[in-house]
Amino acid sequence: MAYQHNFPLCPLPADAETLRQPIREFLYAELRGQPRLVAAKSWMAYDSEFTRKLAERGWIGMTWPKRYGGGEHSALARYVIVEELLAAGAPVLAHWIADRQSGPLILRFGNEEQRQYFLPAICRGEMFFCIGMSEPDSGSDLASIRTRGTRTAEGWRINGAKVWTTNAHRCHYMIALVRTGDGSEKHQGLSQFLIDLKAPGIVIRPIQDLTGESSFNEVVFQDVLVPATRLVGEEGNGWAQVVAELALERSGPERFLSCMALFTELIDRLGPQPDARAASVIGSVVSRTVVYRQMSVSVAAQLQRGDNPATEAAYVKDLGTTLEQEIPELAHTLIECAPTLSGSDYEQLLTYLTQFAPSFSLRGGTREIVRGIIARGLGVR
Amino acid sequence: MSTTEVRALFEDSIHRILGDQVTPAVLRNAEAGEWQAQLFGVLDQAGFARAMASEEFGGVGASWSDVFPIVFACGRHALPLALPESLAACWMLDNSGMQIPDGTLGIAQASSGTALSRQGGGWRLQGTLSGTPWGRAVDFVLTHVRHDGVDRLVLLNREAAIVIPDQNIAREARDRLEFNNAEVYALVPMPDAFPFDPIQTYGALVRSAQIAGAMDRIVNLCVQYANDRIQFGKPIGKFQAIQQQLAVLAADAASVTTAAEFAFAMAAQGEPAFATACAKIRAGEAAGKAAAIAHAVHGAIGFTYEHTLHYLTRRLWSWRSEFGTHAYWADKLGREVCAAGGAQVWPLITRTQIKD
Repeated sequence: MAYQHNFPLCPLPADAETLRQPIREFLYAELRGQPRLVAAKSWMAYDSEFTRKLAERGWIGMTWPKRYGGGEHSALARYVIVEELLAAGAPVLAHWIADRQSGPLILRFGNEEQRQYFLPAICRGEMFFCIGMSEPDSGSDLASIRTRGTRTAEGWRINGAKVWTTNAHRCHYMIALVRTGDGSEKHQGLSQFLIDLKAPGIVIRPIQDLTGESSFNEVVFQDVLVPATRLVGEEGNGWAQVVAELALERSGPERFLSCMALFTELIDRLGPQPDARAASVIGSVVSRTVVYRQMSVSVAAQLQRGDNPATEAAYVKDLGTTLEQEIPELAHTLIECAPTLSGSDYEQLLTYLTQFAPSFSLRGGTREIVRGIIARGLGVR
Repeated sequence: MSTTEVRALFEDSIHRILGDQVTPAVLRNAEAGEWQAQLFGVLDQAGFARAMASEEFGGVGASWSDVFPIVFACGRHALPLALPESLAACWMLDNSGMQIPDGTLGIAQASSGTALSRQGGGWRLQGTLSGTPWGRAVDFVLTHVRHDGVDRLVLLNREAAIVIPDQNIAREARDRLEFNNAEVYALVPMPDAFPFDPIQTYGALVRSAQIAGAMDRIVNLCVQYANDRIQFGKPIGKFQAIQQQLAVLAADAASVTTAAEFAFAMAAQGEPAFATACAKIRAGEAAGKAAAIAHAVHGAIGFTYEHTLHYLTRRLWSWRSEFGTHAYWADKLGREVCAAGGAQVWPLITRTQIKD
């Protein structure tokens, strides 16, 4: 018999579970008194000091080889640390992208010089990365990007623009997907570059989001010179590398824990004896969190084995972000209040997450694109 | 044999047997209320009905993890027999130190007001088991009765009951058994290690895996139909409107399978309650949506009796309500979570973990 889908159950091994108590104690000490609004932002909240403290404990680049500053832990040990950080609403944005996908990409496709240069700095919590995929005219249709790299004597000249680049203004490097050639298919001729964001010709402009803050940016490249040594992997292999990166990006606990701070606050607002309607909403959210977590852990184990669970990651993202987006909506149906900006903790969380929730099914690939990937995996021809 | 080997053996053979034997004729006859005794005999002979009993009672002492593929397959093939119930009954009997009698076994919840009394050297039962799966056909029914402040597992001989036949939406027999001061076949005090409400819990556990199996098959049927059916000059699966619905269906199906398999694994390590609640909630929430999508994709042909889709969708509509609707389990789980407070919800989620 063939299951339609592939999520073998995976226990969290003892070496992973032993990290849970230390990280909880660390977070309890570090996050005491943290405004609830920071917890709501979590992996959108930047705190380089917090990142450096995590680094001191060896909780960044945990799975990477020791010779590059890593801890040679399993992917499941990292999973425990990451889910605890998110559940506690820790401000992890500074190192988040580097730890989740830029570092692993460099490790897998980068050359020895790149690994030695970048990975130890990431592990020390001193080098931050952003993702250069979307462009003004290329969002879901990622392969249509037009930012172009042309050869020079010493390397490459980059021209174009990237958008929706989270945290670019505080990052040291971007891994950018760039067109370096023209294939017969638009997926061909793409390459990835490590771009130093201090290089001349780069302009980073904040884009204000609907909450009034600037969580993302536009990054414009005008005749930016990139040394030949900063091409990642093979020239023209960018699309395959990006697809591998997206499996890392789509299946983690950040795809179903984004509203955890609001959910715990909601439980306390409802009190120990909720009515039947409220109780069944809480039970439903807990049930889905438990189940999606098992699926997400299963994908982490598949990544650890070196499989490419790109389709499975799409399942986790679609289910998880749907749940995340429902939580503020459910909260509005359960507690009678018109939240204001300077209201209680609960009101502040609700105000922020109500506005931010639409992004959950946009970032990392839209819901419709993700569902298209699932459908293709089913064999709809 | 290791537990993985037992499971692989079950998985391979149950699908082969059910694929051959659960024919449209079997399904039609079962819907007329007939117990498919011959098919049950085949499955019993192959060792499925009593797999969870110890060897002394004709089983192999299989664990809940081992039998997940069996129960999943019962759902996938719409098996119209109380085989999952037999497994649950065997496990509860064996693990409470009761003898397992020869004959077919079922489980059912006792209606409120059902009472035990001592008469002479034995016990008598006055009351009703409602919605007993295949109550008309099974030889024994296991239930749970609280008497004088003591919870007991009570095994009843079906012949001692008046049977009032009824059927669920899938026309599976769900009979009312009335016991009028009837002799109890056997009883024991509820073992400490059992969940608070074992019939409801293990009943919900097996139904969650059956729903997972049925949804898995529905995904197959929908994909095949979407590829075969041509409209506007192309397979309807080419349309994004259909693809998006199939993706929702498949993601829900995958989550129900994970939920059920996880609950079976937790039950195997003696912690069934929390994970079973999660599984029945997830299965119940997804079942109605899955049936709706499956019928939308199949159009009018899927609404005919001739097409096989309804054997699965009508089971989804039935099974989601049996042994507790998702609302029942969500309410129960939600109350526990709220009573513990917001700070405890994450520790509760991470504590529920299969062991390495």
